[in-house]
Amino acid sequence: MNKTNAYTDVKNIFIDGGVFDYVNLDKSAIAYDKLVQTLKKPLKIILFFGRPGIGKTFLLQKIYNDLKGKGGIIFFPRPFFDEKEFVKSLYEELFMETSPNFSGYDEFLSIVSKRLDKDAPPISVLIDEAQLYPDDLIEKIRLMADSRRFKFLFTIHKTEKEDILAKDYFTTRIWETIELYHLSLGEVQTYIEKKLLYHNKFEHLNLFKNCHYKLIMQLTQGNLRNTNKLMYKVFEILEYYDENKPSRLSSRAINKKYIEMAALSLGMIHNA
Amino acid sequence: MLSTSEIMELEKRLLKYRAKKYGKYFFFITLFFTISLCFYFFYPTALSWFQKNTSDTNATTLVQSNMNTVKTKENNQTLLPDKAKKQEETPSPQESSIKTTNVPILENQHVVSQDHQIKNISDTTSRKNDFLVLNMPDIKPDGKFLTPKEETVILNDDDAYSKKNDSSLLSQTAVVAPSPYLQVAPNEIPKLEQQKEEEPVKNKVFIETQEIDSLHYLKDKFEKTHNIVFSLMLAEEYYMIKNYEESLKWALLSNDIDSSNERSWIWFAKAKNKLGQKEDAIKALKAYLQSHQSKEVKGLLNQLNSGNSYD
Repeated sequence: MNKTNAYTDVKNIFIDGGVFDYVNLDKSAIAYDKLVQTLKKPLKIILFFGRPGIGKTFLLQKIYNDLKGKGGIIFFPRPFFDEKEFVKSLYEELFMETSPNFSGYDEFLSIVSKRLDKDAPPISVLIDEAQLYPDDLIEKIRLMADSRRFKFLFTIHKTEKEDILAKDYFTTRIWETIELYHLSLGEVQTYIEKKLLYHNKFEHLNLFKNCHYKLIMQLTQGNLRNTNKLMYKVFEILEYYDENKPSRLSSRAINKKYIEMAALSLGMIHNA
Repeated sequence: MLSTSEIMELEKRLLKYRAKKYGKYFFFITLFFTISLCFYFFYPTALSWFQKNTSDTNATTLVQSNMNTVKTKENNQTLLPDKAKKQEETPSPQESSIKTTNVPILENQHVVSQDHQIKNISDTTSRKNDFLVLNMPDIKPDGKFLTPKEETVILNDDDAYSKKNDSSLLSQTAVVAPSPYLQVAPNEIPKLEQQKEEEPVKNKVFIETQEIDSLHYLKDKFEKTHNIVFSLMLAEEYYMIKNYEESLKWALLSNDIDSSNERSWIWFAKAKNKLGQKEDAIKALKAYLQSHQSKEVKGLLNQLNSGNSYD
């Protein structure tokens, strides 16, 4: 393979989660500010939800990175299915030491209450993929929130199949809800352009015109994860043509067929 | 990087996808163009066929209604009082003069054209008032005949009908009359009746002929409908009879109704040219061509510029 292929590096910047380069978009900026402001309020539980793949985890990571310097914030990107595992991880994140074996959350709470300053503000715990947590663990977390030592931010997927927001513990306990909506056409365009700009791939900016962004928007429905997947595949296809059939590629905007080929490959569209 | 086989597979899938996605649009566009072409080529034929059918139907209806009228008049004739019969035997000088002007009915006969436009036949100046109705003479309440101008004639065309027995003959002879007067003096009526008595078995055909004054007809239609078609036809009719002032008037009237109608501009220009105002005609055609595309107008303009005849 020719290592000088222009598209090899470009495709890597769209690997989902591979490179942490948060792109500030209109809706995510609004959600970011709202989340930060809400975390400062004396609330026990906050719910942050949206459709899968629209950048909730990215936003939580951004908030965690920005606030962790001030302390008092913990981020759990992976779900827990066991109470003991959860309290153990929480203890280790909180005190930066190996956790003792707790019999349950009540024992954990009593020890934590003794070690933490009574006047200290509650610790913010960001919990991603909360819809995967078992119901009894969710109930224990709620009880921990009642102790005023912790405030929890649940991030859940809002799907059409299951309305998780309708569950009892969310309908009765949540004090604040924040929704992140899918991207608009302009935001998809901004996202791709900023991604390329952040990585100094200026020469690739002219590959995409408005019609391409419209097609990408139509195929991904404003879903960031799908946009990343599609863009990665597009550049992978372009990489092949650049390597093997360079005469097919234009120096100007790419042919829309490469985007359609990528979508076919990813199953976003079907020819059957 | 993707392999060649993966790319080839993706290209095949893309072809299938595009064929499925755009195939229906291609089908509908092809269908639309096919229908448009068919309409473009066959519409004039279909239109003329339809108009022909319509005119045939009208002609048949006219013949039937006229035959009924003639029969009614014939019945009236049998009820003539004795005084009236005497008067029939001694025709007035006026009636005699009319009698001398009689000519055979089938001479100078004309037929309505298929496009239902009533054409000027021969002498249009005399045609204006020659509205002829072949009928039995009307009788006043006192038993006297009406003036000869109002008299009508029965045409007994038994032989012609019995020989040919062709309904098409009926329709052809009945629609439009010859231009000369066709009249039979009242004193000939007994002879006709005598012939009728002598040949009671033969079928009789009564043909009422009438000529419609096309200009009068068109004006009447225009007044009722205010349709540009009639005003344009009037402009053409007047142009044909060399009444260019009237033709110009009707062309302007048509243009008032629809200024984008190229025919109104064409008749205007032609009439203007005939009136010796060629420059006005050329100006008008140029003005029209500034905002419209018309081969006919361009052709007329070229002919006017070159001085060629265009009639």
